[in-house]
Amino acid sequence: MMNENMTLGDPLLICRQVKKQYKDFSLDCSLTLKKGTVTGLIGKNGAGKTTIFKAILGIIHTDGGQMLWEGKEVPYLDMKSRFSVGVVLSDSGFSGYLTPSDVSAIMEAMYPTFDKKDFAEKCSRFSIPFNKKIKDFSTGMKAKLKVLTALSHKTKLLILDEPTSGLDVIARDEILQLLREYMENEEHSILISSHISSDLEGLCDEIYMIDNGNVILHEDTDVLLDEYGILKITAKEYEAMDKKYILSIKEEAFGYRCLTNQKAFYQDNYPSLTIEKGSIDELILMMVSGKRIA
Amino acid sequence: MKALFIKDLRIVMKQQRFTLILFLGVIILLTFATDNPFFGIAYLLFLIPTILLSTIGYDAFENGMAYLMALPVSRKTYVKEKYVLAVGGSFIINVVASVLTFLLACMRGMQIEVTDVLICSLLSQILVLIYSALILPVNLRYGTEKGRVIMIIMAVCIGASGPFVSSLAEEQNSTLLALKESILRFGLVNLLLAILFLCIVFVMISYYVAVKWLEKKEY
Repeated sequence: MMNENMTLGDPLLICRQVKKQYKDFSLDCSLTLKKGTVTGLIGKNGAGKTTIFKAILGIIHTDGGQMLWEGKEVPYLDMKSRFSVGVVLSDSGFSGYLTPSDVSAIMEAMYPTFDKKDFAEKCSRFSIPFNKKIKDFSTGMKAKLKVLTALSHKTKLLILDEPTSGLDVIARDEILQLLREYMENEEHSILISSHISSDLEGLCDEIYMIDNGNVILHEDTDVLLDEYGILKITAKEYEAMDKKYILSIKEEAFGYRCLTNQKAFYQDNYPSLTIEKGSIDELILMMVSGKRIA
Repeated sequence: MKALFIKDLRIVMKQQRFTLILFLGVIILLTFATDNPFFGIAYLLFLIPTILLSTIGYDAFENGMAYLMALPVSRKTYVKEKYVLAVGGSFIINVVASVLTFLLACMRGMQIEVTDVLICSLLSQILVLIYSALILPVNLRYGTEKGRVIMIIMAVCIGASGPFVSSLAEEQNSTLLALKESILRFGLVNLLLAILFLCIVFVMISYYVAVKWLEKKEY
């Protein structure tokens, strides 16, 4: 069970240089999940999001680093704590030969806090056929069922690996709305990964950008959206300007595209420059495919 | 573990209902069609491992094991549940098959002793346990597809060693005779109970190996 003495903002989970080595890929990731917050992990396919989640859940073994859960060092999330944790994995779930009715019976036996009636009601609300095999569901239904299952046993923490992947915009919005409702309780926390930045923009308090197994950027979402920007400048302008707040640059036909974390500085000091408010997608593009300066 | 039982039993009842009905049909048919009423009990030797292996396969379907290992279920508990299912499930089906065989044979007017049914049942139980103890760790480690191939190779090796063992038995005739006499002095029931005890030890070793293998596995 989770420690009730922790206050909002206390670190619930700390990953310090958690390492995993595969043949063609290597993970070295540090992140902190704070109580009462939504922490997003964003990156392209194959960046390492699922790998770090699997390491946290003990589905894979790590090759180094440290993990602290409520201040105690652990190899992965222990069995007792998992009763308060809801999990969604992008590429895995209950056997496709089961029905939601079977899932309900299994969850009731597994979790003392499972709310059978609420689960059935939510399945009905989201048009999930209760007696149909999961393998016959559409992609959207499978994704919704995974999220509903994770939410069904009064959890304090959700660990969601690409919960909206493969969904249409309406289904995605329905799931995000469920998560917003979940976060109305300040005791709840979410660690969520996605390669769809717009999903995380409206939900997360802070965002980690991950690429090639490493965290390349970590920032509060508000700061990312308010203070980060993209400068579109000529080569001459680039030579002349102060580059201390430039994070990465990308050569373009017109000159350079530059990512800055101090948009206001350039707006005040170089009013003639073209400065755009970057979306998270553009920020990722600049951090991943641009040449990093800072 | 209760949740895992519910999961497996629900899948088996959905997916193996036909197999179970076929099993009952085969027992009834063979009891009436042959002079050997014990074939039904022996038939469960093939049925129990088949049903058991299928639960591992269903769990692994579409990478389902990763999700199961993320739930509050330890790998040790997962393995324990499979072994309890094998031992408990085989015992229950063995009892059903034995009772059914005895009743059907009596209905057919065959001369059948309860002791004979018990001995056949005990022998079948021992063989099912040995077979389950061999296939479970292999399938948990390598998956059902590779596990099936490994078991076929093992069966071929055992079969191929048959002529060699027979020739050895012929050469060691006097030793075998002495062994046979010792067994007869010991008594059949005592012998079967001793074998059952060894079988239980073998299952426990198999369980230990399976837990160690699964703890190392990644999904």
